[in-house]
Amino acid sequence: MKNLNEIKKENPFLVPDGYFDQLESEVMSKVRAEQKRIHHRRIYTISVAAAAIVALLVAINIWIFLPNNNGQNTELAKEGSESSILLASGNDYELLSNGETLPAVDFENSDLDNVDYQILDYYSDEMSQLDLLY
Amino acid sequence: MEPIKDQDILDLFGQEKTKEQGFNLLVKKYKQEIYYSIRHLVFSHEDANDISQNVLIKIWKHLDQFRGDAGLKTWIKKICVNESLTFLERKKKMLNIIDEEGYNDYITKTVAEDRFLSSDKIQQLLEQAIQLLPEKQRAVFTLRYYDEMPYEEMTKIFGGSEGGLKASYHFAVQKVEEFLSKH
Repeated sequence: MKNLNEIKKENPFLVPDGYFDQLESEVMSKVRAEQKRIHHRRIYTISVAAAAIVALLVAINIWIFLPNNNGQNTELAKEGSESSILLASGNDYELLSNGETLPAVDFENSDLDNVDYQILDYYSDEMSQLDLLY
Repeated sequence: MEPIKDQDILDLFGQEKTKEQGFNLLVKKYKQEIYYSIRHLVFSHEDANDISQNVLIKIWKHLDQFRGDAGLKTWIKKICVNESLTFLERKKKMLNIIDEEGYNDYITKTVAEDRFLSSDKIQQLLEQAIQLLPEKQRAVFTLRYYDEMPYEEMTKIFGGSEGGLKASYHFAVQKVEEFLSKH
């Protein structure tokens, strides 16, 4: 035999029983797994982005609402050694570093008649607590 | 049951909610064509099965990039041909067959031992002759002979001119007939 036209044109290949149904279900389950993976990755990315935004908002809020945010923070950061102690007085901060004490009130030059004695008592208490520390 | 239209597949695939349904229709419509066009090129059922699955997953991943320049069927066949040719190149390197005689022996043995091949002796001989063609010529031959694909459509798969593809098919037919006349 020499001529191709003399041969009946037919599909010579056989496949196992139920092969094409099996192929379809295998491919579809792979596709579903892939889709799930993409969906999970999308949720993860969104969660990370949301967490980053929340963290940023919290940081901005802290920065805005932190008392005395007008440049004194920089001062505090410079002085901020581990041994520094902050004394709070209302909204004000005085920094006491390495045992050094700063007078919160300049008694010598102030007009004592106009001093609020309650404030003086408060500072006195605070100073005595500091004495105990050192 | 009504035949599945390519446009319905593409419309469903184009929407996130019905993407999977559209792809399922594509699998139903094209699974056999995909498998057999690959099988004609790589011959063994096991290899054809692996490549068919890869091709279908590739289609799933890239169908949204289908621009409709060629028909959906041609686009799918192009993926089948490319994947099969890549596979054959790798396999040839893996088998480390350097001379033509060694390759002929390997093909003869493979065809003779295949469980999933027609028991018709003439069909077996024809398949053996096809498997001995160079890979790209085999692809041209099987698409033209079994699928009766027009040359114009084939240029979208292989590139080049219709004349070049006609010549390639003509040489393939000559080789196949020569082999048949000798056996």
